[in-house]
Amino acid sequence: MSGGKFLTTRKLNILSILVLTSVIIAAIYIMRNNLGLIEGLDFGAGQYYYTDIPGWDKVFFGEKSITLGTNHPILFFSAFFLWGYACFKFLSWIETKK
Amino acid sequence: MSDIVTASKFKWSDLMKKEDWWSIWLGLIVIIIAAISKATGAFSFKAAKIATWGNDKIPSFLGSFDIPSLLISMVVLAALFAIGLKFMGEDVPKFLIAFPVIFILATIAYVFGAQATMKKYAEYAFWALVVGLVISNTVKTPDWLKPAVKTEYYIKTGLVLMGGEVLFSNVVKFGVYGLGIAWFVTPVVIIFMWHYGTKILKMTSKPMVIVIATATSVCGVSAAIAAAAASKAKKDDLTFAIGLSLIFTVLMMVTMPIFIKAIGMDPMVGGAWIGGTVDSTGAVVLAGEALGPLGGQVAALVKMIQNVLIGVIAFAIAVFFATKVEKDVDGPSVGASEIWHRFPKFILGFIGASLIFSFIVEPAIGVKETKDLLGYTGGWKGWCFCMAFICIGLESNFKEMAELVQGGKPLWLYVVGQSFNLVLTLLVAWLLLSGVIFPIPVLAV
Repeated sequence: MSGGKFLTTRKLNILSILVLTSVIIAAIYIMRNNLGLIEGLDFGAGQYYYTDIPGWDKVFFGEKSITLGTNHPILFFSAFFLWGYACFKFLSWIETKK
Repeated sequence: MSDIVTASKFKWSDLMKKEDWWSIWLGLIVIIIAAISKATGAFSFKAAKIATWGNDKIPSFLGSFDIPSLLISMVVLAALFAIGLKFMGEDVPKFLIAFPVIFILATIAYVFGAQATMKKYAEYAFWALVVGLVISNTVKTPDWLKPAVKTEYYIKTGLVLMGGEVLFSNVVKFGVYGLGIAWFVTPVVIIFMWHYGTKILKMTSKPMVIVIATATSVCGVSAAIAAAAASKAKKDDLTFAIGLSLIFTVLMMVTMPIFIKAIGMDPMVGGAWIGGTVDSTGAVVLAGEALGPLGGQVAALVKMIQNVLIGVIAFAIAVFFATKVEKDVDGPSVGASEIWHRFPKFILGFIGASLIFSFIVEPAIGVKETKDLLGYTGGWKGWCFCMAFICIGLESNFKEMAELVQGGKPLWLYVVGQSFNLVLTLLVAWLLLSGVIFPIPVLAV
């Protein structure tokens, strides 16, 4: 880390260990007390991808599922690819810049 | 995820001799057999499942698995992977001797992950890494087991199967606001984290930077797996990214809804914020539901839009590493044929499966039938990933991992990147959904 003289490697190591330890303790506390779970939803944070969620079709395509804003033909959304392409070119420029 | 990237000229025989191609063929074979099984009903081609235990229904882990079903799954996987290895010229008998042990270790990880409390938070990836790491750092991984320690082979095959789950056809249902939140922020966060990791933190492992950045900005574990394979990352890079993602996901899942409710944030904005920032999809749905039905719906929707990006981003990472990162700094630009040589070919299977399921399978048979079919292939995907994580653990040692910690740089990359993600996503969600600048979106059902 570019912390200069103030943030030495030793201090940074200690800070890293403190942060990581705090986060792990908090995570264990959460798991031990079953925090964040919703009654009736038989899955948890460990479902990594949407198709891992039991009944994912009901969650995403059920009767109550919504569309966030107006619908457009799929070609309209290809405009977002232009944004992605611009980002890719920018990332490439960052990498080649010395 | 080998240590050295090699570029060799493409030969047609590669189709039958290279691991990348065999991962595609195996993925396709599983999808085709699953489709036949579902369409005809003549036989069941579902992978073994470990039931949740430690509750009233199944108090002991002994009741969580079915041995005949496990044996069938083991034989199917051993046969499939052995066919590929035979064509690749590897020692199949040695593989077949070692493979059952890898499968048994994966089963143990699945059983740990299926415990009633642990299933809610950690699942199999965490436990598979733990099981593998414990063995490699205590009794050491025995030599006779190594012929079946095929991390890349299992991961790539699992990713081709996962490609079918990336249903791009649903993009039209997401709505322009949802796309704006998910797709505008994601590449910006990746660029920010890449710059921060490589130029500010000066991390030596560039694949580790991209894997952590993708896990943070897209969807945690599954995105990390795809990014690691696309960037040919080392196994330890993936271990760090997944470890950080899992720990912080648990924390964010609980604290974000509390914070959102405490400051009285609009549930629609709060849901979008959660959907765009919390890594794993399960945690997003739970945290969103804590805000109420509207927050839950918006969170789930935004997350699903992000999930769809996995294939595109994995493809972009593969091209980026082939053309820029692996290129000699002062060398000539990389031509199309060289890109092809360096490109991890299994990505083609991943994208191909996504396109086939999105634009042929789902329109033809509908969401429900597609879901049923993915239920068949998803089980095999899970075993492939679980065995891959076992192998990653078996090939890692704490001493080498400690050297990669580099003063906590991976941790700071995640913390700073996720903080940036939180601020930017909140800003975009607020701009789009609060009605301050743009009209509040119509929530079409």
